[in-house]
Amino acid sequence: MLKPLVIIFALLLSPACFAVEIAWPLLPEQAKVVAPENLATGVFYYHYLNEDYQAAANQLKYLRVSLPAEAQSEVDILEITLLLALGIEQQAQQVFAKLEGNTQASARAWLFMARRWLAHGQWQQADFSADHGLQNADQLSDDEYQELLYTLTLSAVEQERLQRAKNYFERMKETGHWADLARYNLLVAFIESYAAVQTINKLLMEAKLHQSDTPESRALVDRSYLLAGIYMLDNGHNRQAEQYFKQIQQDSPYAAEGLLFYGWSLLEQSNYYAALQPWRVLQQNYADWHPAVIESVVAVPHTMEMMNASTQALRGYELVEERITQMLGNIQALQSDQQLQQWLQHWLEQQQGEWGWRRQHIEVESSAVSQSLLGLMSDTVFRNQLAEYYDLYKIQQQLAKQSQQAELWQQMLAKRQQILAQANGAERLQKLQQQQAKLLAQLDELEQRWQAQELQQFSYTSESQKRLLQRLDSVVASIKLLQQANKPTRNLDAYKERWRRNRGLMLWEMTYNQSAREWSATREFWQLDGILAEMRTQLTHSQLALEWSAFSWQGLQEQVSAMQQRLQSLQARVHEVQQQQQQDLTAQMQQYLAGFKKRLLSYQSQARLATARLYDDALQQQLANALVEQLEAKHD
Amino acid sequence: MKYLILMVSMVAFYAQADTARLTQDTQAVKNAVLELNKDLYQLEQELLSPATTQIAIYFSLRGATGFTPFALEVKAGKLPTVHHVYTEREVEALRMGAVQPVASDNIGPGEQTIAVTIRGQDDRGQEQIIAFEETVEKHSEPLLLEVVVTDSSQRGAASAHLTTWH
Repeated sequence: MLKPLVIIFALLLSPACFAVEIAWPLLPEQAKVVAPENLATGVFYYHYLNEDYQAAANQLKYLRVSLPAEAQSEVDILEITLLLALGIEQQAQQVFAKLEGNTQASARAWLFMARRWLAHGQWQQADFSADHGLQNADQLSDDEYQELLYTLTLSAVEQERLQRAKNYFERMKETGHWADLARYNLLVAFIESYAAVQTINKLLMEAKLHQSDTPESRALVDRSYLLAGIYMLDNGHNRQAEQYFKQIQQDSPYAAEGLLFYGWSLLEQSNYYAALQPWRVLQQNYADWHPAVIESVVAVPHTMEMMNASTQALRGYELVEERITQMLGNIQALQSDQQLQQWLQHWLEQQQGEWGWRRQHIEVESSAVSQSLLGLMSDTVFRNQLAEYYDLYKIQQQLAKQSQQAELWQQMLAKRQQILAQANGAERLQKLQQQQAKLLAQLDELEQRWQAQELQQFSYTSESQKRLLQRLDSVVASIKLLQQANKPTRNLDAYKERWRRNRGLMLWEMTYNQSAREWSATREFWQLDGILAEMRTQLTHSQLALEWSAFSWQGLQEQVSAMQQRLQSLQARVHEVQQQQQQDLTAQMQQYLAGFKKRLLSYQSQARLATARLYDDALQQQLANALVEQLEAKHD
Repeated sequence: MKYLILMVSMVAFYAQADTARLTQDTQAVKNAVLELNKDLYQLEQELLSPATTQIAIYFSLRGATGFTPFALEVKAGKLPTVHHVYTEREVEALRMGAVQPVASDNIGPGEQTIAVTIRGQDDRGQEQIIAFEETVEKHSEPLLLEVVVTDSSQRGAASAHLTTWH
């Protein structure tokens, strides 16, 4: 009975379950980023360094075009990291396959790709990436270098290359988060390869010695002791196992399992009274549905039986029967499709964040279904599938939002087209251009008149002066007429003198004011010319704007329609895959519950067998006693 | 018994194969969504800012090791004023050479005045405000302007200017 349980717990607590937090952001090596060749590179890194990977993915195309050939492999690495972060492993694998021959990239880029491969459990790729990162380790900080060595250690362990793993581990610092993790994984590797007790002991002592004062480090050490203890128990080293289980702290996440196996180790040493204590603590401190508690409930009457405390054992088995019958009833109720799908939906609504790496994992509050599925929730494969299910849920929401947006874009394009048609830009512009032509013609005429003035004797004269000039001219004719009409004795000198004076005054005034009037006329002409030039520029801009206005809607409606069709077909596809995923998850949960039920039935049957055995023993004893009394009476 | 074991193992095999196919389908869907998002982004850019009327403004710290930007304000012609307040992460990204896309909008042809105000702190912890105005001309190509902050070796304080990209 003990061995299958040990195997189950060993599987549950395997290294793959121990997810490593991926530290963000990804920081490409500074020397390569300091002076972006162009905007595309800089904008890509801005999104990349601010963890906006969807936006960074949008910029990849521009990045490839802008960077030279020798930098393309760095872009490939960035692309692979983005794809893995978004959970698109197949595409990442395809790009990675092209990468292998061309390996010029910064150490950090390799490191962060290695992280992603590690998170996906792709050990060979993680090893390859980390190995290349190590070649330029001087570009990395100390913590990053330790992480690289940890990656190499873990990937070597997973590929069963223990010596290689040990070599990398020996290069690591003795203390620190990465050293703790590497040491733990090495321990698991030694256990799986049936290493000697001394080897395991040595590792455990180092773990305890170099333990950091952080909850994660303490939890790792506790887990190491738990696994080592289970291994020792499995191989009959009960005393050693007991010592290991004793090391697990009471407030550790592994305390429940520790208490359970501590009890078993004591039982195996026939230390029955002592074995009951950790199980009583377990049942007091942990919920009834905890797998360790369930097992301890069966273990206690079993121990009583071994102590020949038949009555207590019998009572214990009867309690087990009651409890298990109740649990079986609960599981029966939970196994329906509807219940499980409701739980899945509730779990979906509890989670937060976008799809891919940006999901914030939130545990669902305790419920009958969550409690029953506790074992399944610690399975990495199931958790990954749940994560994918959530991704599809968020993708569906995103596609619905994008569909609405596309609809709005269509409306916007129609509106733009309508507004531009109503504005009647072409006709209005044509009228304005005609007005402009008229004005230019008028300006030309003015210019000619202005130029004609230069040729005149009396230029830039005012209207009154022109009239005076005309009067002077006409007065000459009058004087001549007077001269002819009257006798020669008439004295016209006074008239002539007056004419000369008026002419002189006029000439003086005209000459005196001519330069000012010429300057004023020239200035006004040039101002007018300037204004008309601005008007010409404005008309040109308006013409351009009219030409450009078509770009705001022409050809875009068809593109948006095509996008809408793509969205619709993708929504249908996502819905289909989502349904399949839901069915698959439901089937897995039902399978798990069936297996759980089977285990409970096994406990129940053991309890019933034991009960029957105890009753049978009691009956046999009773019959034997009765026979003895009869014989004694006969003798008497 | 043998046949029973064989059937059970076949069922288990097909169940595993189903799950693997489902994972492949999910990844294919994600890939399609990623490609769609890229195309949607491009279409959105064309819709919102056609190349002929597009004006895009960027911001970078080119070697401005002493200056830490806190806030940026950009006014361009009659466009709405753009404001941005920087987080630590964004400042770190800028220091590593990243270029921030500040705004993308539409503008008519001709001359436009761009007024930029950057509030921040110098390496001595003193508040520093960098403000300048420049006139640019919009033609039919996209007008891409980068506000570049650099260290001024002469005065010991940072300064900024506008770079036009083609």
